[in-house]
Amino acid sequence: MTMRRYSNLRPALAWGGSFGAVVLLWQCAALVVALPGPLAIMRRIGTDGPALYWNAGLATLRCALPGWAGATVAAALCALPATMWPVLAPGLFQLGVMSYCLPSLAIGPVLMIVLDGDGPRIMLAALASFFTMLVGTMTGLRACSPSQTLLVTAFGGTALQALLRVRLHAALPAWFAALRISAPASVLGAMVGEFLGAEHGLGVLLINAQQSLDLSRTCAVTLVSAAFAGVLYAGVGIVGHACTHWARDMPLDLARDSEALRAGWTAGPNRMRVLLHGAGRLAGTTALALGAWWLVLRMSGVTPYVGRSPYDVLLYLTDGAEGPPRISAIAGELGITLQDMAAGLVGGIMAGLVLAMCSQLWPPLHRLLAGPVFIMQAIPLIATTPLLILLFGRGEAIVVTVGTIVTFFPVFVTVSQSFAQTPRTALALIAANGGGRVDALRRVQLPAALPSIFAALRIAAPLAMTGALIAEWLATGRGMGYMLLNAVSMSDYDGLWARVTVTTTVSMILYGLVGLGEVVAMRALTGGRDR
Amino acid sequence: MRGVTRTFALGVTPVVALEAMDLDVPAGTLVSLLGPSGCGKSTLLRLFAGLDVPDAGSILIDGRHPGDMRASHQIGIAFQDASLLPWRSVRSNICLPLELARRPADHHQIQGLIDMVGLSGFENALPAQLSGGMRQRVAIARALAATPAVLLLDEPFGALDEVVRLHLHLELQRIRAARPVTTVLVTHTIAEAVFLSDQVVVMASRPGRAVSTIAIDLPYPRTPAMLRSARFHELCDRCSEVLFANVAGTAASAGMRE
Amino acid sequence: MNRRGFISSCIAGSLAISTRAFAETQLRPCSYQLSWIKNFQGAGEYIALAKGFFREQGLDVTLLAGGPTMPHEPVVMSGKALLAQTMPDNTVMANMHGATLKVIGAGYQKSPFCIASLLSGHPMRTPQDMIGRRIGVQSVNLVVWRTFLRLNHIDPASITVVPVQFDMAPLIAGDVDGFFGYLNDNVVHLEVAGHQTAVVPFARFGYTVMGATLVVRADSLQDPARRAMLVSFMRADIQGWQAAIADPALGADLTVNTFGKGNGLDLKAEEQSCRASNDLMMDANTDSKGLFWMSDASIADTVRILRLGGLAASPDMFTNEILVEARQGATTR
Repeated sequence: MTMRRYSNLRPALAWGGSFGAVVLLWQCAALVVALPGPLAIMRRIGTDGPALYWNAGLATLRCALPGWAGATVAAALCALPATMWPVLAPGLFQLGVMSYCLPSLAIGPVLMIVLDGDGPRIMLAALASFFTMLVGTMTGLRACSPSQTLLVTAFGGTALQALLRVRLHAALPAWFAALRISAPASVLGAMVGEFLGAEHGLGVLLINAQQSLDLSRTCAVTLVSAAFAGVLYAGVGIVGHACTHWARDMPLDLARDSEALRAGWTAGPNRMRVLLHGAGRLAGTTALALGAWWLVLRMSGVTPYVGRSPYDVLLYLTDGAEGPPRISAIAGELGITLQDMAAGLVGGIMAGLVLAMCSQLWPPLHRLLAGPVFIMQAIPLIATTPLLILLFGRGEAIVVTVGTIVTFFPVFVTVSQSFAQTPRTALALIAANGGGRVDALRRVQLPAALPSIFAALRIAAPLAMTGALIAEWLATGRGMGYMLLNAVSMSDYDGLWARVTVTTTVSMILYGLVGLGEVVAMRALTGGRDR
Repeated sequence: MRGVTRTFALGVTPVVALEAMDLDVPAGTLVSLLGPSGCGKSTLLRLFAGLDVPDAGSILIDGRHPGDMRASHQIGIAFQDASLLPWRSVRSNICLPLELARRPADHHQIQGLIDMVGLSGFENALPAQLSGGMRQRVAIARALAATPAVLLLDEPFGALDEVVRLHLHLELQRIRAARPVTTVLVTHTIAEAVFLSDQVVVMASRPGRAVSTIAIDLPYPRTPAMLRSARFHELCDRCSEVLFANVAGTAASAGMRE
Repeated sequence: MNRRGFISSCIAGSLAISTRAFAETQLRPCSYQLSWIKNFQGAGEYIALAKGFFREQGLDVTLLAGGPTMPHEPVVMSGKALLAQTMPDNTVMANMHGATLKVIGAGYQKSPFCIASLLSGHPMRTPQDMIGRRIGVQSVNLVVWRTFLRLNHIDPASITVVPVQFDMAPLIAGDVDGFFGYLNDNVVHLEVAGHQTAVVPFARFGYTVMGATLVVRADSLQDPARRAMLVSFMRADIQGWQAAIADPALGADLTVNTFGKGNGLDLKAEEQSCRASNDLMMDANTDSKGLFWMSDASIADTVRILRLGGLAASPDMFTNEILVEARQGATTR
């Protein structure tokens, strides 16, 4: 009993220690750099009165929570039919990928005029968490072994009973994991929404703090938003832990599992068939995306001045005289953005890999990193990028920094998980032959992590696009990110929709390509046998 | 069971899992299906359980179709992996078939099953807290919970060590002595088949078919001492003779093809 | 209380309730899109709401907060707001891309734009001072910026433009030497934060373009019900802004403690911004014609300069007809 209590206490201690270390480092850094340290921020919160931050946080939660809940329900409504009728799964999954790849900054104006009241902020919070919830729910619903559902059937149970008694229950661990990851995302989504205009909230507080050059309050708001996100994250973690105590030692790997949902790539033994399958999927996805686009425009009744149809975009790009220069302009912007995206992606992968490897060689590092890694996930980038510009300037450095912050998390988490799941026997084999941790890492764990790295890359690619867009918008002033906002500023909605289409399509293609790379890597690793 | 054929499409070439297979299981007896991997034993079991439908031929259990039997909760089944629901306790896992049949769980009956498989004191344990052998015993108790007419066992002892396996063999024998339920056991262990069965059906693969049926005339109750008896070894030798004759043939033909 | 008194008080009470309900049903709902999140820029509207000027005109006005990434023209085009406060260059661009908007009044007679710089850094007071410097300009203001350079015959290549948002930290950190901002907003914030500031006011160097213009959809001027609402709105709004100009402290108080409560606004800065706004809102023209009035000369100037910047502006985009009706008093309700 003492042993168990001790082991339950240890993560908490490690978290506390990790936060303590971060706070200390930060306080030291604050003496050197012109940023307020934690002490100054705490003092600031004290003089402002905690009520200011608390109320603003509640206002933000008022949009974040319904958005989060809505995304959860919508994900369930998509995942359930996809589980019952697997033929629907790829299509529904592609819709999720699309929601994940849409640049939320660019669709803001549309949401703003289509939805009333808190609607736009709730919607952005929902969009920020939908894909994660979809992956989590779909993975969860497939978590039970075939023999478990077969058993229910053999005992005379109906399909409904199998769903209720086995599938839903087995889905809980993955579902809770997704719920937890999407909690901070929904808070950030709501804050992005507040930049579109809001009465109250952390985003509004932030705008005023930044406008009045109040650096300590800017930092305080940033931290408070991370704290609100952190409380949600921890709360879901605790509830999830209590509800899924039976699954404590079960490995869970959302990123890898999501690949399994993209059934079909591995289907045929025949190359031609794989290609045909891919082409069919591409056509299906395109049709689905265009259909969804058209349907949303029709259903929402958005004024044609803002809402342009796929046909309008086609006309815009193929116009006799103006078309070619438009296309070449967009292509040029895309080229810059792809470079920026690649820079951020490389940064995130390197950072994630190196830190995952370091914490494998020196395990305490993993827990020490938990705090800062989480804070990096939970702070609003639109608030911190101006601060980062002060530190890193407006060149390649800021592009790499923002990209790294955005993409580092999935890489670090997925690769660490893969390291943790290395079979003991493989490690024992290395040890028995006199190898050390470095040998184990080099010869066993890194090669075995290859599919996980690809999986992380797939999740990170659309994120890297988001990071590049933000860096371009706020720092470098070039590329697609700047021109998207410029199009809004200039009321050039044709140009906006054309760029949103290009950005989303490219993100989705990259997502697909990395997924293909993953399959290839997996085949190479398993000698052609499927999982 | 008469002339049962089941074909699967694997890739482009169809694979005949079972071809024109005939099998009789007398009521109250235990019949083992013995054969190499891929000979269609598990397919056969799935057909018995009504989880799959034959392409040709018919299966009748007490004159009824397996699908009917399944719908009226007359089938008990256990797999090689215990397939326990990890969030349910031992007792709750055993109650599952009763819940599915919407029958009230009789506390004494369930406790009786738990005692019978030797898990008294572990009623509220979760599967993660049990050893592999204990989990398998829960699976067998669960298969019996709804007092089924037919018990289908798909290599339930496959992953266990020799000692635990023998222990469970004796348990199964004891359980069946108390309640002689018609049982089909799928196995690839010759000694297990001989020790437990009234009849052993030896199967061969490509296509899956029965090649020989060997009646086991060892007296009941069978004891560990019997494992050392001449008759036991004689029966085992006969089984392996039939089994390996066909396996060798397959291997030879496979070699020819390559 | 005796029985009779009880009954009569009941009757009185229910009467009061019913007249109230009657009045409520008579109020016409109407939304106004503010140009920013709730700050001093809506002071006149806050006063008109708080003092019941809108209600007196039979309007139930909702003030929609704006934000950094929100364009205003689409909100009016979609009908979500009856009118919005914006800038004429944005409106012309919207019309160039298919919007049908009309400007029915201008809050600022002068352009509020300026380039702010620090005395402690590279102070700039004339457009020529900007040559060779790094200036932070928001993407939404790029057209104005280019127009301003052309007006002053400055080669755009001689100045480095840096993308910024509303956060002036780059100026303080020395990342930029000058910051494109509002005289009545950014400059006030800089000074309240203790930074002595030099400015290049656009209005003084040829950029004689009106600001804080109110836009409506063209068809709102034709539709009798909406036109009547616009007239009522402007009547109350002018009352509100007159009160705001007369008492900057009141506007600031409502901004900080009622409408923008809980958003961390600073009373001192908002009051100073209100005072600074007064200079932009009033001139000889408004003394004779009233607030929001757009004189022919101002319209001509605005159109000429916007055209210089490559925008297809035309005088018929600007109309004083609502203001005329509003000032006539009792034409339509």
